[in-house]
Amino acid sequence: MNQENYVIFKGTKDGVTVLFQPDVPFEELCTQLEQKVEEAGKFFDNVKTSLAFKGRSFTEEEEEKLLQIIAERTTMRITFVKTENNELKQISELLEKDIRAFNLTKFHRGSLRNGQKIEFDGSVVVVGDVNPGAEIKATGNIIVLGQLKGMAHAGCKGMTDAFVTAVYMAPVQLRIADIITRFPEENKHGPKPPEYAFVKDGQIFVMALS
Amino acid sequence: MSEVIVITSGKGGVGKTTTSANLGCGLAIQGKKVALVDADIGLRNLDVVMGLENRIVYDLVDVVEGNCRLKQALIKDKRYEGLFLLPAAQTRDKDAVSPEQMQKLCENLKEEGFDYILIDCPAGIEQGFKNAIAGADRAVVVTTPEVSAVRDADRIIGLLEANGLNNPTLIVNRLRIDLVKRGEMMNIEDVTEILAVDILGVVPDDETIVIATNKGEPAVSNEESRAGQAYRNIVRRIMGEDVPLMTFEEEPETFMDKLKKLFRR
Repeated sequence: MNQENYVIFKGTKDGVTVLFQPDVPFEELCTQLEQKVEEAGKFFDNVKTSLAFKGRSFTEEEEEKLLQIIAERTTMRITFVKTENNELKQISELLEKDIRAFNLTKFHRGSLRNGQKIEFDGSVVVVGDVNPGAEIKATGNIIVLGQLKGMAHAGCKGMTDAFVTAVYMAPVQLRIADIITRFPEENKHGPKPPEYAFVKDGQIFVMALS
Repeated sequence: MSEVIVITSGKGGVGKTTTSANLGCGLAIQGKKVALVDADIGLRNLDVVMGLENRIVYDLVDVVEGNCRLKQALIKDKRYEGLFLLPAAQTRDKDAVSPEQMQKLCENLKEEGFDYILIDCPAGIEQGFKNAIAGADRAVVVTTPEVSAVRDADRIIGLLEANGLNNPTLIVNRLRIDLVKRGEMMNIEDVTEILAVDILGVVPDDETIVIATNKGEPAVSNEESRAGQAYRNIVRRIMGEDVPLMTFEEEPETFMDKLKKLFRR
C-alpha cells in the first residue's frame, strides 16, 4: 500500500462527506473513488443520505461524473448534494424553516388509541391519553396532558432542542431528533410526577417536573 | 324498536362467537325476538356453537345475492321461541359481501320485526370487520384480561369511533379470579383504565362454557354456571336494567389450601 489516499470518506452527523486531494489529476481521483466505493460494497446499500464534496471545487460535469461513479456501484440513495460553493446557502434555508415550523401548534382533544397517529409540522398538544400502539410525530415539541404510553417523536426533522412532556410518562419508545431511547421498564409503574424529556450531550434525559 | 348490535374484538379467540350465542339465547329466554347473524364468512362457527349446523340450507351470501328470500335463510332455533340464526357462507370469503349490502340486510331484518339483531364479527380489521359494523346501531367489544387482547380492543374502539359507533361497551371475558387475586392477571380497573369505556359485563373463566360450546348448548341457560349467570346479567343490562357487576367471592377453601396456609405462617 504505497498508494496515496486522494479520496477520503467521512461520516458526519448530517451525511457523508467525501474529501478530495486538491492537486491531483481528476482522472486519478475517479479511479480511486471507484476503488473506494467498490471496497465499501454493501456498506452503502440502501442508505439514504446527503453527500458533500469537499477539498476542492469541481465543474458541473466533473461533479456529475463523480456522482455517476457512486450511483453505478451502490444502491445508496442520495437525498441532496452539497459542494464547496453553495453549501452555506442550503444550511441557512434549513434553519429558517425549522424555526418557522416550531411556532405552529396542533391541539388534539381526546385520547389517541392504538393505531392512531398524529403527524404535524410543528408542536403537538394532546389533551387525553396516548395509548400503546399510538404515535405522535412532530417537528416541534410534544405535550401530553394525560398518560403517554405510545410512541412520541419530537423534533423529528432533527431539532434537538425539542422536548416531550407528559402528566404520566411511560412511552414504549421516546425519540427526540435522531436519538431513540427505550423507556426503562422500572419507570413505567406506580404513581409519579409529570416528567420532561430533553436532549443533552446527544442523550435523552428524563426529569420530574416539580 | 329494534336494535342492531355488533359483537367485535379485533383479536381472535377471545370469545366473540360464544358471547354472541349466549346473549342471543339469553335475550330469547327473556321473550325477545332475536336474530343472530354470523358475519364470519368462510370461517363460520356460530352455527356449530348453537348446534344448528345440520339445518343450514341457505346462508347470508345467498340472501345478499338474491338466491333466496331472507325468511328462507333464517334458521329457527330448536330450543327457544323467537331465536333465529342467519349463518355465514362457508365456501366464500369476506369479499362476497359489501358494507352497503350488509346495511341493507340489517334494514330488512329490522323490518322482519326482530327486537335485537346480534352480529358476530370476524377477527381482524379488514373487509369482514367493515361489513359487520356497517349496519350496526351500537357495538359491544369483547376482550380478555390479557395485554394483547386489550391492545387490539383499543385499536377496535378507535376504528368503531372513526366509523360513527361512539361509546361502545365492553365485556371482559375469561377473567381468572384466582390469578387476579395473586396479582398475576390484569383486573377490571387495569382494563378500563386503558380502554376508558363503560363495562357491560364481566364473565369469569368457567369450564362449563367449554363443555356447553362443544355440546352446542349455550351456557346461559345453565343455572349452575357462573359464566351463565354473568351472561344473564349482561342480557338484562342490554335490555336496559341496572344490574350491579357480579362480585367474585373466594371459592371455598380445600383441605390442601388450609394446609399450605398453615405452613406459610
